[in-house]
Amino acid sequence: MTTVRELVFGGAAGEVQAAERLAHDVSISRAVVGRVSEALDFEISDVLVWAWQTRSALLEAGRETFRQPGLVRRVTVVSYSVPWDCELKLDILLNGAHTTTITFVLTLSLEVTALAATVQRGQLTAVETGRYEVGVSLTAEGRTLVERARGFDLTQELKISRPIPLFTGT
Amino acid sequence: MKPLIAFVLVAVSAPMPAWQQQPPQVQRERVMVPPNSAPQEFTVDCPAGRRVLSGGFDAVPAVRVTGSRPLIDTAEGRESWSVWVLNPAKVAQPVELIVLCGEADTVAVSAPGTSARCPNATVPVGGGFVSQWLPSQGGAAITGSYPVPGAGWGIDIAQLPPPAGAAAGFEVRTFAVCGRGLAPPAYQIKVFEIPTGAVGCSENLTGGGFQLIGARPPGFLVTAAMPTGREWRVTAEGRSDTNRALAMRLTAICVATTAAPDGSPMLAEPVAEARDLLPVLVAGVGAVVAALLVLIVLLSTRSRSRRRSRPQARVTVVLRARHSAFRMDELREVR
Repeated sequence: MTTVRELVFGGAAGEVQAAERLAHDVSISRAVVGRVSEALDFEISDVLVWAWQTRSALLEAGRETFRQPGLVRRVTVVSYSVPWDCELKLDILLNGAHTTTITFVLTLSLEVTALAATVQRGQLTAVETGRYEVGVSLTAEGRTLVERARGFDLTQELKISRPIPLFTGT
Repeated sequence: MKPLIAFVLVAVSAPMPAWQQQPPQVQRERVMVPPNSAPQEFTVDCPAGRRVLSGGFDAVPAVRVTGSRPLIDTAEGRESWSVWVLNPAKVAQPVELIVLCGEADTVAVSAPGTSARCPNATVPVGGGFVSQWLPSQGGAAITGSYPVPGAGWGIDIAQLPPPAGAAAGFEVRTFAVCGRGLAPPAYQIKVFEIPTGAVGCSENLTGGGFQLIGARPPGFLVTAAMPTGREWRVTAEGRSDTNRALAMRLTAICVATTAAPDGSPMLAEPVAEARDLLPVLVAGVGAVVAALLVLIVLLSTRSRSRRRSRPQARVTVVLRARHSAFRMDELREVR
């Protein structure tokens, strides 16, 4: 259950390194990077589920099984990849006065391979196998602060304690 | 000393790409704009064989600049910077046109609306805008024209109210000059309160942008936005609704010295023979050491005085907007 924040910064030391890359005046850039870090405190697998809910074989299976309630579909996907961009605009105030706005862009490149999952009643009910690689980059005003990639076991990262709806009709 | 000398020898003897053989150069031309109820176009050309990187204008407040954009005549092989000026005054007014030219491999693109995208494997080195502004119809004032890293060029607009009885309407177009085979530029950013601000590069300024921060009050007018050697300079007029000074963000686009494709280092102006450089190097290193000592003394004095007298500024960071989207055109699924 890795968050985007953990992937991007790793920990407090990663935030300091990013702040130093952002500006020499770390007193301000620490506050800025800290705010970005808070905004990225959600699980990477959430982004993957949003992607599946947007367009995927799983979504098609979800619609099919929703129309036929008794139907159970086992979906296998060799590979599934999509980039996701997230833009954050942060206003910097010094003593309450607005001084500037900094735009951060986070890009996640998600690639799932060897996925086998079960869909029924329009919901994802189990993930049997699967692996995903995530490449991440964080830029501020065009300057790259962080760039890294990591692989995950999907069955560990996406623990399905309750079925996940695949579209809003469910 | 030895490694430094060796580096300089390699640098001097290495073949350099055309981009670095001559640093970008500024060309200026002063024109008198006759009174007219419609915008008029003026151009300043790059020397033969040089490519347009960016450009700008320096005008008086009596006129309104409605366009500042690259202009490429492929038939005649001429590259220029074009400036559109509306002069509603009763007498002719002076405007200075500026173009920054270099030997880069560039391509100019444009698109209707407020953004223009650079082609793949290119980076924005300059850009501009045209707003079809007419006194009889109103139009859009340009409040920002700036590079969008990784994408191209963007502009911000504020719609001007049309005269009574006229239908509101405007049309804007955005231009980008995109460089091939360049490392991603470094962007120097500075926020300033109008009227005038400047931001510079240590080397190879290719262009720059400006962006009004916050509300866009009526009467706001950019009277100058131009490269001046190593600086990008902007002058504007206007006050906020509460009569406070307006803040703008300036961006200078700096193309850093990078490794050439063959791995040899590139220098901006390495023209001397290697053997002539030794005395210069010795003197140079001495000067650098002296300058560093002075800098250390100055910084320590400054930080001591700051600790004594200046209260700590309170920094607040507010997440103003958050947008996210999948790039659906790049989605790949193999079943």
